[in-house]
Amino acid sequence: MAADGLTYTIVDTANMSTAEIYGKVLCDLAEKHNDIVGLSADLAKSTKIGQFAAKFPDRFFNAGIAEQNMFGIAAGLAKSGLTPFVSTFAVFASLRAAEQVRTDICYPKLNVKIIATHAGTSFGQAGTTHHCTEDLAVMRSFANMVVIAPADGIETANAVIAAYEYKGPVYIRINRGFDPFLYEKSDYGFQIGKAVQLKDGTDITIIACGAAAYNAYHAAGILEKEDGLSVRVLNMHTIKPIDEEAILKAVMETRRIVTFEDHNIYGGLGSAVAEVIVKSGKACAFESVGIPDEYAIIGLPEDLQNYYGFDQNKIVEKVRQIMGKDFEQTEDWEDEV
Amino acid sequence: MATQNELFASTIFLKAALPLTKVILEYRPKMAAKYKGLNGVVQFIAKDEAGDIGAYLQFTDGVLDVKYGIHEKPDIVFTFKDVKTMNAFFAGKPAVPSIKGLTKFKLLMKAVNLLLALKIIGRKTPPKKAEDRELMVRLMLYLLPLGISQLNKAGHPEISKFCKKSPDRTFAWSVNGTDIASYLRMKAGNSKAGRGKYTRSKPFVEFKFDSVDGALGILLQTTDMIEASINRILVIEGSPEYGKEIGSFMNTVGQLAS
Repeated sequence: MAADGLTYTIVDTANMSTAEIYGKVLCDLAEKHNDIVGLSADLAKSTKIGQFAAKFPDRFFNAGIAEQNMFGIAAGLAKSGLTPFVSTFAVFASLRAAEQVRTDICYPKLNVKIIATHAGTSFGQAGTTHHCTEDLAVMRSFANMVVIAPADGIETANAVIAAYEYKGPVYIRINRGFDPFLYEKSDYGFQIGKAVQLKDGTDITIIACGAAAYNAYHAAGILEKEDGLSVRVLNMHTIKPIDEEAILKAVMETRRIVTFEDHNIYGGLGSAVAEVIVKSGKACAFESVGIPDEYAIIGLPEDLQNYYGFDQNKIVEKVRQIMGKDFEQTEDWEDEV
Repeated sequence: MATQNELFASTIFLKAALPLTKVILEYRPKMAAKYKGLNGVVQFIAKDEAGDIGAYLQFTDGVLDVKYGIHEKPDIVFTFKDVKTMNAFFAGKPAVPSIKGLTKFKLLMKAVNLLLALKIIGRKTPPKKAEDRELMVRLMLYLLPLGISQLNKAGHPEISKFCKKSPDRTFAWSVNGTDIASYLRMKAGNSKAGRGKYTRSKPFVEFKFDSVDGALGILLQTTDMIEASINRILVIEGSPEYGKEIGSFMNTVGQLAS
C-alpha cells in the first residue's frame, strides 16, 4: 500500500462492516487530499459514505434518488479537477445509471471512483431487485474502467486507496454487512491488476474474488489436510485489467482451474479467466461457479452462498468432484452411539 | 398410549442417553475394570398400546454394547407400566419398575451402578472433582448432537423441518484445552451425530467453550449468555441465525431429558 500512514489491521476493522471501513478510509484520505468530494443518491447512510458527509459536509453532494444525474454531476466535478467518490447500491450504479457511467465517465476517461455496495447476493433478504449479479459483466465491458471486487474489509481499504492513486474511472464492488477477514494486515502487496496468491498448489487452482476468496482459502486448507490435495488459491481482486500472467502460470502448473464468484457466470470473473485461457490456446480443465443464468433467489447471504456453490463446503465439494473424490467415503447416516 | 412428547423423551433416554454408559466405562478405567468378564443382557421395556419400546445393555466378556429394541432372551428385565414412567425413571424421578431376574444379582448391581453413574448428566450443580466435571461436560456435549439427530430421525417436527431444508452442513461443539468435541452433520433430511472433530468440512456453526468450567456454566445455565459471550467463555463461530436455531434444539433435548 502506497499512501503514507493509511494502514489498517484486523484490530481496526474487527467491529466495522466492509462499507464502514470504506467510509473510514475515505475520511482518512480526504483529510490529506482536498480534491476528494463525495456523492450519493439518498443512500449515504447505507453505503457509509455518510461518514464522509458528516465530516466534510461542504464536500458532499446528495443527488436525491436520481442516480443518472449523480453520475453526470460526478463527471462534471471530475472534469473540473476534483476526485469524486460516488456511492450507491451496486444494482443502481451498474444498471440504472449504466449509460451515464459509460458515456459521461468512461468514454472521456474521467477520474471518478464508484464504490458500489450491497453487491452480488450480499443483500440477500432484500430480494432479487436489490441483488446485483450483473455489475462485473457490465462494468468490465466499459472501456477504460478498472473493476475491483475486494475480498474483505482490509482489501477494501487497500482498493480505495489504490483507486485514488490511479487516474481514471474505477469501480469497486463491496458487500453489505460484515465480511470475514481474509487478511490480518494491509501490507500484503495489493496492486491493481495483480492477483494475490493465497496458497500455492499444483493439483488445481481456485480463482476467486469477493466473498468467495475467503471461502476458497479455507476450503483449500480442508482439501489439503483431508484429501492430500495441493490447491493453489488466487484472490483475483481485480477483474479488469485481469492478471493474465497469474492465470497462464496456473494453466501451465496446475492444469485445472475453477473460479468462484458472487456474480452471474456470464461476464464476470469466470468469463474473464476463460477468455485468457482460450486466448492462450493451452489445454486446461476449467469450470466456473457463480449464479447461473437466473435471478438469484431470496435468502440469507450464507444460504445463498451455499445454494449457488461458493461457500466453503460447496467449494470443497466442487474441487473433490473435479478431482474425482466424494465428499464422504460412504453415505452412512448411523449416529455414533 | 404414549403422547408424542413422551415418545420423543424416550428417544432421548433410550437412543441418546443410555448409549453414554459406554462413554462412562471408556473414561472411567477403574470402574470398567470391575466389569471385566461380565456377560449378560439387561433390558428396559416400557409398555405401550402401540407396541412396547425398549433398549438393552449387553455385556459380552466385559464389553458393553447398547442397543435399541427388545432382546429375545434378556437376563434381567426392567418393565415400566408406560413410557411416561420409564421417562421419569431415567430422569431420576420416583418411578418403580417391575424387575425380573433378581437372582442375577451381580449383573443387576453392575447395571444399576452404570445407571447411577449416568445420573451425572442430570446434575444441577457442577461436581466437585475436576475429572467428574470433565466427564459431565463430555457426556453432555455427546448427548446434545446425538439427541438432536435422534429427534430428527424420530420425526420431531421443528428439528425434522430444519434438517430437511439443510444442505450438507456440520454443527460442532468443542472445549478448549481438551479433546472434548462433538458434531452433528445434516444433509437434506439426514443427520449424523459423532464424537471428536469433523474434519471433512468446516463446521457451519461451532460452539467453542473456553474451558470445562466455562462449558458447565453455560450448560447448567448458571452463566448469563451475554456475559459469556462478552468474556469469550463461549464463542459461537459461524452464522448467528443458525447458531440460535441449534441453541433452541439443544434446549429441546435438555427439556425432554428432564
